[in-house]
Amino acid sequence: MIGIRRWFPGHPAARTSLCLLAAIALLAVAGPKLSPWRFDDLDWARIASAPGGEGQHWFGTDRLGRDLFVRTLEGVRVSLAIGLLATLVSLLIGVTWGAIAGFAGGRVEALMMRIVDVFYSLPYVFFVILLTVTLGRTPSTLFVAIGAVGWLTMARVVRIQAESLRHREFIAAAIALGVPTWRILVRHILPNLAGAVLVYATLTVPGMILIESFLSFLGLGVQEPAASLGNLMAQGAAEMEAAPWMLLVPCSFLVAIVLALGFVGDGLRDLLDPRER
Amino acid sequence: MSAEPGLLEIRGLAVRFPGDRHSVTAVDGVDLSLGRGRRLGLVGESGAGKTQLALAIPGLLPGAAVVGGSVRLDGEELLGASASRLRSVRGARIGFVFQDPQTALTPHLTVGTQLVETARAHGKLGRRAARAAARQLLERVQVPDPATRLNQYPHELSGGLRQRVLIAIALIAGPQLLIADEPTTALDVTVEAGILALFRELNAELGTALLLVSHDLAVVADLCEDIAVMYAGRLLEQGPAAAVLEVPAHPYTAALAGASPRLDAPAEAPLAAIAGGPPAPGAVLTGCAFAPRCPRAAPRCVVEAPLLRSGRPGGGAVACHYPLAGAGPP
Repeated sequence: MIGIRRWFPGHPAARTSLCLLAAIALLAVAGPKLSPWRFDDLDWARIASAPGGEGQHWFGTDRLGRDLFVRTLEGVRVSLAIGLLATLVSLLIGVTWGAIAGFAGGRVEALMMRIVDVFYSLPYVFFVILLTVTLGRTPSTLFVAIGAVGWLTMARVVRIQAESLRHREFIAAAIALGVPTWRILVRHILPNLAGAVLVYATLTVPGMILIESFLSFLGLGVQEPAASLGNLMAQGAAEMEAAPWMLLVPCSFLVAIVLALGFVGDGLRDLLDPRER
Repeated sequence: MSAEPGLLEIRGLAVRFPGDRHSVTAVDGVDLSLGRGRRLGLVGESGAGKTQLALAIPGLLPGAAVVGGSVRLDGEELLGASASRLRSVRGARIGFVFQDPQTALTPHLTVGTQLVETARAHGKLGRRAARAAARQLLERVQVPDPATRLNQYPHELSGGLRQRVLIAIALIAGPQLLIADEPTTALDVTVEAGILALFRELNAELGTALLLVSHDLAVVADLCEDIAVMYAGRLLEQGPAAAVLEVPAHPYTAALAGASPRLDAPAEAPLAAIAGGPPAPGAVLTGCAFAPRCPRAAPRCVVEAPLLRSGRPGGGAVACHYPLAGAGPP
């Protein structure tokens, strides 16, 4: 196994963040088994009790007496999964779409980007409501709803990058030497996009988590009793003055995840740029 | 000019960039031919249209350009050829070396990858055979330790080495014609001398014809057998390089030769310069393009554009109503 020190040379923050993310992910998977409580168990004796109180509620309980430790980790799991999967989908569609548009230029580019504009201009909440009405209120609907908008910004970011690359001399040189177009796209343009794409992807994950929480807050996303960081924070915000831990616990997890992803993206960018080696 | 058709025959090539108000004519009806294995230098000031002419040959101009005339490579018309046809010509039959070795190599791919991909784009070579060919060619263009270089990234090489690698990439598919656009401008003088020597050797050994685009008369005089002088999109004079540079027939060529710094001139002597500037890119030219700056201009020069006529003393052709009759610079 390669020593972790060699992963991000000169990037202690990225290394630490990667470890932190791994720890959070591990905790989200294994953590709930440590607690005697399940995410939907109600503890009638200890409603809205503070962290560190009796009954092994390490992070306290919510206003229905459900264990916040287990619910938060459950929420981290749901939110991370949605964030990562939606980002993956937006990467796939957005990068392909944007790279082709940016490299092709001219009419093809105009047509492809106008399609993106049309999607952008859809009233989002209305669109999601229509989706839930037609497809039903299932996790996969939520997924389609997030995926439908997630790739738009990615496509724009990639298109701009690809277009500026198209005018660089090494692309002109590759064209002048008859390198096949698909190869120029895949070998010469895509790796050059990696920096911007990865940095943007690390920003997309928390963005997706936020969209999920926003939809959950409106009752269109993850439904009670299932937990996500979004609906936990929404509930916590309502009890903020009386029971601040209900907001602070899921909030600190979100902040930790967002910051760690940012540092990892930064480290990845430097790692993938040969000029920084 | 010989009667036998050359490798590259350009007839009436015109490149125009249409604009909202007025269009810009970069190349204005150029005739040029280049024989098999010959070395032709295309000289002119910045903005004379040299690069646009060079890019037009393998169809590399941006989509906005309107190109007219005819470009034949080995009798095959390239203007208006299909994209896939052009792609099979580029690299395989016409190699192209760009000006700046710092930017013309893809930074995140190794030298070997870039050589191999060009070789494989045009031949039926396997990966291993292509890599062997790449290594041989690197050795041929005098890159020391080619086996190691193949695995290095462009930023690990010096400017001169990178230019050698670019030349190797341009040659790996065995083209008949190598177009080099100011290949030594970004290099320092000692490295430049090495690259020029390499061009001469490769031309002699492989028989690859060379079209060298340059603003440097000394480089062209050193390397090329033939010269073509371009000004404001037109050819003013062409012929054997030695004859044209020693005894210019066109006042512009004479002025250009006179403007080259000389080592034997007294140190305090001012550098000779041509008065005035070239016409603005969008300007409509009646008469000779050089007339406003020409010391010999007559009323006829302003109204009637001179045609490129053969029969200049010493061989070649000149476009001037009143050519210098075998005299030195005025």
